[in-house]
Order: sequence, then structure tokens, then C-alpha cells
Amino acid sequence: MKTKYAFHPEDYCIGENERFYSEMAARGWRLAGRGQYLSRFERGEPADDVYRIEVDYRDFPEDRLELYRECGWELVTKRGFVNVFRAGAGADAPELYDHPEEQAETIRRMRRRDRLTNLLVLALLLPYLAVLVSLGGGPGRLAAEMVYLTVNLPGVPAMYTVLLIYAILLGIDGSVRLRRLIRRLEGGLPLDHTPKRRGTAHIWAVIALVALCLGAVAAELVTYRKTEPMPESSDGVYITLADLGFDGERRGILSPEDRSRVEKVWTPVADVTLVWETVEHAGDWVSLDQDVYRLRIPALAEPMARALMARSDITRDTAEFERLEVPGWDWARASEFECFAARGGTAVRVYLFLPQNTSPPQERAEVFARILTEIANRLDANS
Amino acid sequence: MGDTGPMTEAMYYVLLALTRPDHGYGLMQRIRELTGGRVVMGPGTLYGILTRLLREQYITLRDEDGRRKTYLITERGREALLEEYRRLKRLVEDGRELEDEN
Repeated sequence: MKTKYAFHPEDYCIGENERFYSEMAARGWRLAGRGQYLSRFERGEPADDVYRIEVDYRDFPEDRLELYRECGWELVTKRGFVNVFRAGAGADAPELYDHPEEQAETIRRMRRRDRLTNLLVLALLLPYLAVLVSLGGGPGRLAAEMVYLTVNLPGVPAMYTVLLIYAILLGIDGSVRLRRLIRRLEGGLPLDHTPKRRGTAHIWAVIALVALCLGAVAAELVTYRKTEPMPESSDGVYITLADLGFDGERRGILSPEDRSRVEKVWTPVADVTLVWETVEHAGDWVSLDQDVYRLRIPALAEPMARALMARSDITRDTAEFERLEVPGWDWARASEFECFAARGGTAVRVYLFLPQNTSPPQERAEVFARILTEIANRLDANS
Repeated sequence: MGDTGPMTEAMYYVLLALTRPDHGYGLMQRIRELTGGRVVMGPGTLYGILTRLLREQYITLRDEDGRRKTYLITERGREALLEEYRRLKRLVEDGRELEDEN
């Protein structure tokens, strides 16, 4: 048998669903099943069938079904709260509810259940957020993760945001509509079985979500990564330890895999250069790590620099960061081992590990200022 | 009427029809007869009222064969029905002068 699927209105749009199924039947598509978003129809003769929805999450007892059947109403399908009944045009079936206030009671039950579900979702979400916040070291860390994700994998935060907005809007929309319907029924007005077709907002939200998922996958697919051994001298927007006067043989600290390297990453939002260099200098190790983000959205530069700072695993206490004034940079902070800075459309993170007694901390600030100046010169030369 | 609030027209007719035992569909027919076709009770309305009246012990389950349940009014239900009848009667009597004016 020929079947087709179509998006149906939200569960709480009762009259809209009834009208939708009746219209499909008139076009020769008889309802066969209802899912979360889609309903299944089977091809038949066009019929003036009437559809009515009873809201009840419990299964109907047999005596209730028999009563409805004797009145001409057959249960076609059930999904969650939505029980869809059908009566043929000639069945002369009475309306399920001749007293609207009786139907109001069923809607009130649905709303109570709906509220409970919303509360449960919230109850599950809040500890999850709390854990995220506490693990991350404060609400700022959460925002930092979002900015970081936006730059490195733009599809993910976009999807998360849309999903969150969708859930909130759907919750509000459902609550408002059910409240309005209950008031109408309590006022003695029967449910409108043929309202103007609405209640399809979620269809567009689902389409947008699918599009965003595909976009996220596409963004990941088009993200370009290339890792190469580090050249003798800088050929990009970074400096080498030799530029700082630390000459020596380059090598990995722990394994050959962590040898000095330059990784270039292209995302839809940024061109990223990640540089890791370690040299053996005067019998000790010196390491320099540089992450340079050239952003296509200049306004993201400072938020990204702050996000990188908040995500630091080396300097966990943000109080350790001090303001750094460096010509050519709009914003800069430094701790003993790291500095973060932003200018125009660029955000950088620099990690410098020097042997224990190389210099006191205040001189390191000067070293960071020098590194930033050098990077700025290279950025200017590359722009 | 107990926790169910004031007796509605639908409840009144269900209790009235259940002064003799009947099942759901039979009740609908009986109410239609009693009201001369004025009240055509829907199955959703009826089932909701039966559930509530059972909970309030105004009616009881007389018989059950799986697909059909037969109900009957209880003594408590009869008292409530009679009280409502008297209340309605007083209302009608109070308004009798309206008829006299016409």
C-alpha cells in the first residue's frame, strides 16, 4: 500500500491536528500512525472523515474504547498524550465533548504533566550546568568554551544555541496555548476543531536543526589542517626561540611526536597558526608555544583572547594575570608563563617555559612584550 | 457536591439516568430520551463524569464484562440528586411569578 509521511502540528495544538488529519483524508490520505514529528498516511479513497483528539497519556481502558466505538469513534493511533479518533462521515458520531468544561479537565491534566516534564528537564539541566561551571572554574569559563568552540568548530555552538532556543520557545508556546485553551473551555466555548492552520513552528525548527547539523559536518569537513616540522626560521606570523636568543638543538621533550612543529588550521571563522618549539639551550630545556588566531570576524578578537586565557590549564587563577601594555596590541594580559593578547582581528596565546633561574617574573613580562611586538610585526608584514 | 464542586447539568442527568442500572452507551440514549433530545452527551463528557462520580461514591459498578461496565446510583448519590432536585425546584418556584406575569 502506498504510504506517505508528513509533519503534523505540535501535540498541544489539538484543533490544528484534527483539521490537518481531516484535510489529509479529504485528499485520500488516511492516517495510519503518529510519531514525534511525522504522521504516516496510507493511500485510499478521498473521504470526509472526522478526526478528534483526546489528550490522555494513559492507555484507554477497554470499556472506554467500547463506549467511543459504539458512538462511532475508532481509535486510530496514540502517541504520548495524543489519542487520535476517527469517525466516518456517515457515522453520525456525537462530539466527544458536548460540555467544554469536561474537556478542560483533560487539558488541565495534560498541562500538569507538561509542567512536570519541563521541571524535570530543568532539574536535569541545572546540575549539569552547575557541574560544568564548577569544573570550569566559574561562569566565565562556560562562556569561554562557547567562544572557543565558535572559532574552532562554529557549527557546534550554533546548534546548541538553536536547540536551546527551540526548547525554550516550544515550552513557552505550549504553555501559553494550553492556558488559552483551558480558559476558553472553562468559559463554556467548545474547542475550535477547524482553526486556521498553525502550530507548525517546530517543523521549521527541525528543518533548521537538520540544516545546522549538515552545516556543522560541512564546516568540519572543510576545516583544513596541516602539520609540518618547524622551519629553521619563521615563515609566518610567529617567531622562533632563536629570535629570542635561545639557540640550540630542537627536539621533543617526551617523545619524537612532540617535536617542534607548525600546524596551520583553516576554519570558516579563523586562520589559525599553532606553533610548538623546544630547544636544548645551555644544558636546559626552553619551550615556546604560540597560538595565533586571525579571525574573519574582528569583533571576536578580544573575546577569543579572553576565552583562551580563561581556558588556561597552566595559570588557573586569573588573579595571577597582569595587564600588559604593548604598542600595537589593544588588550594584553600576562602571567609568569603565559600571555594573551588581542588586536584588530587577531587573538594570540603565548606560552614560554624557561629554565627555573633564567629570569625573575618581571623580566618575563618584558620578554612577552617583545614576543608580542615581533608577532605584530609579522602580522603587519603578512596582511 | 463533595470535592467535585457544584453539580453540573451533565452530572445531574447522569445520576438521574442511573436510578436504574445502565452501561455507558445505554446511558447516553437514556439521557437523550429523558431530555427529549435536548442533551446529546458525548462519550468523552460521559466517561469523565462517570469516573468522577465513581471516585466520589455517588455511583457504583454493578456489573463488568470487560468491554462494558454497568453502573448504578448509590444511596449517597441518590441523596445528592434529591438535594439538587429540591434546589432546582425551589429555583423554579421562586421564578413562577414570571409565568403569572405573562
